[in-house]
Amino acid sequence: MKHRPILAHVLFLLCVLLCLTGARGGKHSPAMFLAALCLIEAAVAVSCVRGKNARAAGDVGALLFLFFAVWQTVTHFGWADPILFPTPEAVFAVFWTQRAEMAAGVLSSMGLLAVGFLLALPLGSVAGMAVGRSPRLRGAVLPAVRVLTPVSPIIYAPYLVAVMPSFRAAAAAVIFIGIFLPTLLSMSERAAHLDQTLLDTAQMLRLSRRETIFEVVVPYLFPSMLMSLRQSFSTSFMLLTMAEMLGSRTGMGYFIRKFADYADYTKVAAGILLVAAVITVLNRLLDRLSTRLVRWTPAP
Amino acid sequence: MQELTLDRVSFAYPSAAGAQARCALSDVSLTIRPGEFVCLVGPSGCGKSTLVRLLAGLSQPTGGAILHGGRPLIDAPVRTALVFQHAGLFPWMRVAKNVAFAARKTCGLSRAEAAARAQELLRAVGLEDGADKYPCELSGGMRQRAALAAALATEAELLLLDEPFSALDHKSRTALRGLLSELWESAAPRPTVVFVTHDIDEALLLGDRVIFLYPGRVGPSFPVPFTRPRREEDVLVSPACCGLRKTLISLFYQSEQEGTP
Repeated sequence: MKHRPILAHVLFLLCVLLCLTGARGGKHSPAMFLAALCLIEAAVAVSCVRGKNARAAGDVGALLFLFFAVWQTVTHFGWADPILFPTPEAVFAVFWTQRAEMAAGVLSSMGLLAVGFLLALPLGSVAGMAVGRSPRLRGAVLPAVRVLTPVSPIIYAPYLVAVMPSFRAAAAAVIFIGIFLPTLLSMSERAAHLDQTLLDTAQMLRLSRRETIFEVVVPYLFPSMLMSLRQSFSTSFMLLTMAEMLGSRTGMGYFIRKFADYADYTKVAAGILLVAAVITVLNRLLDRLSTRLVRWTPAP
Repeated sequence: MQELTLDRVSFAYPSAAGAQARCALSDVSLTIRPGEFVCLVGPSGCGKSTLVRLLAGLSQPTGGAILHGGRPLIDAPVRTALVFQHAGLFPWMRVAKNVAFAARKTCGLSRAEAAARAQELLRAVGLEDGADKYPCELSGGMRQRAALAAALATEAELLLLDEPFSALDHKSRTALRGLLSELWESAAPRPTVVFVTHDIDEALLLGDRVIFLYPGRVGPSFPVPFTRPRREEDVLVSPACCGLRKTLISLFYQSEQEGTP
């Protein structure tokens, strides 16, 4: 039986009604906000038609619409400071008026994130595998890694800014450290506890050392690499926005910092929503990537 | 393949600094003839799996020698396959690829030849429908069939099976026992098989000879007098079988009195 998220639909209609009634007196066009509401409703509807995660989609949709409805009610009735709590119509209108700067910011941030991930994830994985398979390296390296990993790399930022050739390089270094260390730690622990049966099978098939590493160890550890990627992703985004706030001239974090300095909280709120939207999209892409690449792992 | 001899073989597991090494096998001597189906039975922890690991070359004895045709096994290796209790298939490869991979790496077949061989073997073990599945998508019994196919793909002269059916229900065990017997009896030449089990009836149904292991040392060996093919319903109720079963059970009880060497 297909799930029908009645609550989500009702709250969507309420938000649209509030938007249209509030727009009469407002100075911002409600078009972008309405578009966002319709996009969320469409996403919920598509999930329900497909039947996959329909209930969760309905619940998430309902919570989002409830959030917007409360936001609209509070701001339209003037129950909150209009400077600190702008209307949703005003915030979503920024996505149109500042579209060029936002797009450039997203691209810049993604570029920085990509540099961090593309360097840190493979290096951390390879280092983790090497450390994990060597008892001597484990004893020498892991104690230091365990101490350094919980320390937020943003603490090193002032030093990195002084040492690195540019703010952007310092930001990339912060992201690199934030991904490299946890990846090294998790991969080394997983590599240290490889399934002995699989290693015995490799030995029985007379695989060479190279074949054992690339045809057995790497595929075995691949789900862990993906898990590191997912776990690092949230942390790295946090580090990214913080690093950009330090001294960058572009990026999503810079966008928020710039307009915070101008006390333009409408744009600050839009910047926050932009970061949330980008994280949501990237998380969904990661989910799909994980599902496709590690179909062979048993379902939880 | 020639005669396999274990000459006063011992094995002790290394210990942490300061602790005494755990001796798993002590002065084990036995001979396995080419083409023989030998079943090793004994209580848990008696060293059956350790013995299998030594025969597979996964571990080296700490004392004594394993000889193949009179020469140390390390100098006269035997093409060996090992089927584990929990299949030992590579989980990221579909079943057909697991079998083809084994054929390719041990027999030097091309990808196309290995794929064809895999299909043939999977048909022989009744798993052609599961060829495109990942191991996690198969039941325990199906995984063991796949593991058997992968072992046969290596064209091993020595087939080692370490309690391969112990995690399965009775119906699956019976089916797989029958399959193993059938495949072994129809093979030309027949590989030498060393089959580890703690199920006495299983040993009597499958083996040409049953060797009992006390904790850490070899006990008596019993030739199994039944002709092949063996029907479970006939063999298990025969007086000879009942006698052997009673003797082996008494040895199990006796071994409870034995400590590890």
